[in-house]
Amino acid sequence: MLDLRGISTGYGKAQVLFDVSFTVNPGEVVCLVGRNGAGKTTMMRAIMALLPLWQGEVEIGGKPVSSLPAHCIAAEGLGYIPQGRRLFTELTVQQNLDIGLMVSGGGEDMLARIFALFPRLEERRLQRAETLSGGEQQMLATARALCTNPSTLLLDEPSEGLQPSMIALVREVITRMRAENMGVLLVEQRVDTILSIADRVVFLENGRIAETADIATLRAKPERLNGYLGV
Amino acid sequence: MDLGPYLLLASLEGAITASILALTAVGLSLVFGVMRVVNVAHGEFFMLGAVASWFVATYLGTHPAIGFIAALLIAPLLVGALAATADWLVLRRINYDPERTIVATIGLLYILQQGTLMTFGPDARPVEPPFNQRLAIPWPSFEGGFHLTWPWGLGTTSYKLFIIAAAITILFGLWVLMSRTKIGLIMRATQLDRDMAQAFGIPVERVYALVFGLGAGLAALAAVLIVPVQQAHYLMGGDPLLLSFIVVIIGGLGSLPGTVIAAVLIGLSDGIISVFFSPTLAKILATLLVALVLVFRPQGLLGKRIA
Repeated sequence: MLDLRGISTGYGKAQVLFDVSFTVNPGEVVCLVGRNGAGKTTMMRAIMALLPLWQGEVEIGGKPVSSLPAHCIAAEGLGYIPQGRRLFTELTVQQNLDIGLMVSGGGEDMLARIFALFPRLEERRLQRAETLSGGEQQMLATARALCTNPSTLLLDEPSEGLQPSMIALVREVITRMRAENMGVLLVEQRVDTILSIADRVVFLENGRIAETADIATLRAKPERLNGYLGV
Repeated sequence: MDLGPYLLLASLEGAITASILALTAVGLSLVFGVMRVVNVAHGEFFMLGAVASWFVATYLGTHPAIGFIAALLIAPLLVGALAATADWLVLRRINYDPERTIVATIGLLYILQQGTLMTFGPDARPVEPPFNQRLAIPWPSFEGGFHLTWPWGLGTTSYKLFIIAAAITILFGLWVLMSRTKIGLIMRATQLDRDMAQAFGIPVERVYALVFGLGAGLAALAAVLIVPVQQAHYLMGGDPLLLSFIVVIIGGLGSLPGTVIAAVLIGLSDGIISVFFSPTLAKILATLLVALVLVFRPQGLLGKRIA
């Protein structure tokens, strides 16, 4: 379980997040929704300790991790798929996955599971990441995060710039991870994706939680989403 | 002696310069590539390697070969450990900020240089080569049918050939380390994206200390190899630093293959121009080449253009 309590942070003297608290339970998909600049990516970076917290606490499975250095967070069970994928572009597919496997200590068994999920990556194993298509790069970013064997997966706009078939694949993977009892925190702008896979939606506005809604309520009144999306 | 044998002799001298330069510059390039730190103190790590080599060879006091082998092992380790400590004490504390690290490494340069002057003294001190047989080089002649001649003055020493072979071996070892090992993969991932490396469990600050130590160790290794030819002196770090910067800029900042290619180009041209004209002209032309590269191909031979 990922538990965020009273998170405040920012860049330099500019505060971006103000006292943000919510929880991602195992087997639950929580969508973080907000306009550009609302603080969604900052939230993800703060959880991964890539941005120091000004206030608040992050707990993973009941263990406080805010005082840990950034390189220790992945080993606590957080897998991160950043916005824009940020692959190690000059490394091969295999080497990108090896970096993920270093966290979990996983071997051929885990790699076989990953390749079963993304067969195309196995075909491209020795290809440099920068030569993959956008969809394949998203597969690799997801696979690299799954190689760390996370209990909670953080995805920052995974469907951005992808063709519909790839978006469907991303949704399928998230659904499958939820079925395996993994918690998922998803930053997403697509209404159809949010409505089809989220269990709960946290609306972020100007760095504060504006409201939280369960998906049944939103499916009944999807227009509520529109106020929090877009530029 | 005709032009041909002279050219061969000059190329041999150039190959020795290129070998030492490649090792030194690769260290500088590695540090810049992975850490984005412009290490102005790099030449002083070269100097420390030469001085440490003199200390080891002198205080061991046995056969020159034993002293040399001991220096080859001890000096790079000592200098590498010193550099890693400097990284821990200074660079890490200023968060590897590009501007502040330049100032910090200038400070480090003076501390190391003046510290060496106070302990080692101002004199240049020789280190005996482990072996130094004179080797005459044959030259083909076609007058009255093909036969080999032995022009007077066309020769080298076994130690100079050893320098070239050792540099090639060390560079090959570095290539294996970077491209075939887990630690090499970690260094390359850190170079490509520091934040993502951390998000995937890589202790970036430890990697930086290792890289800074490795870069300095390579400079020290180059110095141990050249000190039987050049002598150790507390001001000897200036030229390797300047030439290393020239090589790294021409090769492409952070590109190890580019650095090696540029070192061979600059080393060979330095050797040839020094023999036929003057060492000063060689340095002038190398600096001019840097200016041309900066104007027409700012990313260097194999560097990547930054968008």
